[in-house]
Parts: sequence; structure tokens; C-alpha cells
Amino acid sequence: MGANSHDPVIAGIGAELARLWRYGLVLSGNRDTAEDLVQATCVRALERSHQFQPGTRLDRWLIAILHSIWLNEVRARKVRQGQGLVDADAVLVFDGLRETETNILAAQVLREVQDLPEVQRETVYLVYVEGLTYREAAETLAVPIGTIMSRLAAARAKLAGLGIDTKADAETARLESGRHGR
Amino acid sequence: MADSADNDALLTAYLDGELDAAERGALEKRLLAEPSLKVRLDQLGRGGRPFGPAYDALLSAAPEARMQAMLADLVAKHGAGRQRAARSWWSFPAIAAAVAIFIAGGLAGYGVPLLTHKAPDQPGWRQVVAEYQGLTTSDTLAAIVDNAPAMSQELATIGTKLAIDLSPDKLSLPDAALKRAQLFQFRGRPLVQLAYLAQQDGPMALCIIANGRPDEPAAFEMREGYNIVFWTDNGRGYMLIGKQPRAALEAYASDLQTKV
Repeated sequence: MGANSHDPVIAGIGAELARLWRYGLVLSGNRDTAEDLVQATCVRALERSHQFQPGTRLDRWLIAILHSIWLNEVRARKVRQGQGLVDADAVLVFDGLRETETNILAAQVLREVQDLPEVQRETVYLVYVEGLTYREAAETLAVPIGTIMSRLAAARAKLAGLGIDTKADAETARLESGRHGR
Repeated sequence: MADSADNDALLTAYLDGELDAAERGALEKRLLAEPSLKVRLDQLGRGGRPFGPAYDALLSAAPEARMQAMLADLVAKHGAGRQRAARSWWSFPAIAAAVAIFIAGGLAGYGVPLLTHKAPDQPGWRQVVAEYQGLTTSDTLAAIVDNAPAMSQELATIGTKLAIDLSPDKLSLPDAALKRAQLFQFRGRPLVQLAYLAQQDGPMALCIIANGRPDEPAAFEMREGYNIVFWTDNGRGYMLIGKQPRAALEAYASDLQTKV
């Protein structure tokens, strides 16, 4: 792909596929859906490569595209079709990691995060795994920074076994009841 | 409850290092003064996990090879698509120059010297010609008014570029009228397109490029829905392209090979 190396999207996208797939898996819980999301993200990124600003982070840009596709297309379709949003496939992937002691611990963490409500799960992933700042996460997910904070607080409370009602849990309840969606 | 939720958000931002100095200072004062807030901070701190290392383990589960193949396919299609989108009737030389940025598979033997390191990533001249041919209709060529003296002059000029004798009688074909001769450039090499309008199946073109390749006998292929007969002779690559049936095209090609 050397001939394309002057196009930062084409030059850089190949190095991001595994991380995009991982994000797709976190969102969908399904490895095939994750792969479809990666492909759709690549298609859109190539179509819109002229919109990418050189000097900014390609991985962030791709993550935002994948999130948008998930939210507006794939997730919406799954909801319309009445399919569950998260199936057992992610658990199988995590179980596949159970080979070493380190991976047993890893699988435990993944399972805990996967059990969080979707909006908390993806926020945890973007901030704590991908290392986005609150502001970057807010831009990527198109929500206020306060929402990022309340989602992370709720996730921490759950992971700590605190079970306290929070703003983020109220947000989750609204989203899941379908009365408040984007 | 709103109050405790706000506190949770604030404490979480504190744990995550997202507060600025002033906010941090103010919160640390409160933590000293409010034991319950400190308890809450410790509780939320226990909601942390080694997220990064845990998720790193997932990367190895990604179908890397399949996704890379998918991407390579998309990039190739993307290049071809952009090429199509960018092309206008006049822009063949521009495309030929720009073509270096596109990726296409299966280049080997396209008549372009493969010795340069970029060559495997580039579509060959026959592919570019085949795509260009898609813009030509019978109407395109029928609209050109025949002007034999002008055509002779053009052919002489173009022939000089390729160091080849391109007189009209050598190029004449049965049941096909030579309508237009154009000189292009493909990666710095002169490329001639001679457009015919055949009575059967419309536009047909003979393209010649000076490519310095060793001689190769005529072979057949299909690209972009066109039949193509191509050969290399005396350092020049030839291709005859059209919608004509293979046998008709091969007969024309054979005729041209003996004359040109």
C-alpha cells in the first residue's frame, strides 16, 4: 500500500482494525457483528477520507465512525428486528481467553463490563480502555461531558457493588424504555 | 439523590484525573471536612479495574487476516471508484498521472514494466484504457466529422512520438471506420488511442504504448465488460478493445498485427 501512503486514512487504517473490532465486540457482543461494523467503518472512512484532518488522531476518527454506524444503523436494525442487543457470543470470546491465569482475570473484567448497561459499557471502554479524555468521549458519543461523568460514576458504583441509583442509571432506564432515544 | 449523583460524578472525575487544579483543590478540602465523602471516594475507587490489560487480551481474538484482506479489497475498489468519479472526457492524461495512487490487484503482465517498486500497486495501462473505453459510445464517434487530410496529419505526428508508421491505410479495417486519433501519456510514456466505429457492436479502439517490453504473442482477456486482444511487438504494447465478439476482435487484431 506504499503508493497510497500519502493518504493518511488509507495509510493508517490497517493498523486500527483489531481495535475497531474490539470496540465493535464491546458494543454488539457478537464477533460477526463486530466484523461487519469494522467493514462498514472502513467503507465509510474511505468514502470520507477527505474529511479526515491530517494531524488529528485517526483512531479517534474511526471510533466515532464505528459508533455512529452502530447507533444509527446496526443497533437500530437489531432493535427493530426484536433481537437482543447482546448475545452470548462475547462471553464465548472471553471464555476463549481462559488459558492463562492472567487471562482468567482478564475474562472476569470483560464479563463485568459486558454486564453493564450499553451506554455505561461503551463509555467505560472509550475512557478506561481506549484512553479518551472525557471531552473526547463526549464528542465521540455526542453527549455532554456531564453525561460521561455520570455514566462512569454509575459504572464504578456497579463494579464496586454499590447499587445506588444515579443519573446514569436513570438515563439507562429511559433509553431502555424507548421513551428517550437518539 | 441528585446530590449524591453529582458527588459521584465529581469523585469519579477526581479519580480519573479529569479535574483541573482549582476543582481538585476544592474537592480535597471537602474530603477533609466530610468523612462520608471520603468513604464514597474509596468505594468508587474499588469500582476501578485493570481495564486496559484485560481488553488487550481481546485484540488477539480479532480476525486480523480476514479484516486485512477485506480492507485491501475495499481500498482497491475505492481507488477504482475514485478513478471513475474523477474522470471526464478530457481527463485521460490526468488519470494516467493520478493512477499511481490507486491500488489494484493482479497487475502482472499488464504490459507495464514491473521493475519499478511501485508497479505491483498500480493498475496497468490496459485496465485504465478499459475504464476509459466505457465513456465512448457509438454516438460519441458518429458525431466526429471525417476529415482525411487532418487525420493523416494527426497520425503522422502521433506516429513520430511512438517511432512507428501510422498511415491511414495501415490502420484501415474492414467494416470499421477510424474516427479519431489521440495522444495520451501513461506514467510518462506516450500512449495512442485510435478510435474506430465498427458496424457491428460499435466503438472499438486500438491503443499503443511505448513500454519497452519484450515481444509477446497476442492473448485475450476481458476487463470492465470489454473483450481485449493484446500483444507486444518491438517495444510497444498493443491492445484492441471493444464489445465485439472475441473471434471478430481477434481477426481485427491479426489484421493489424500484419500491417502495423
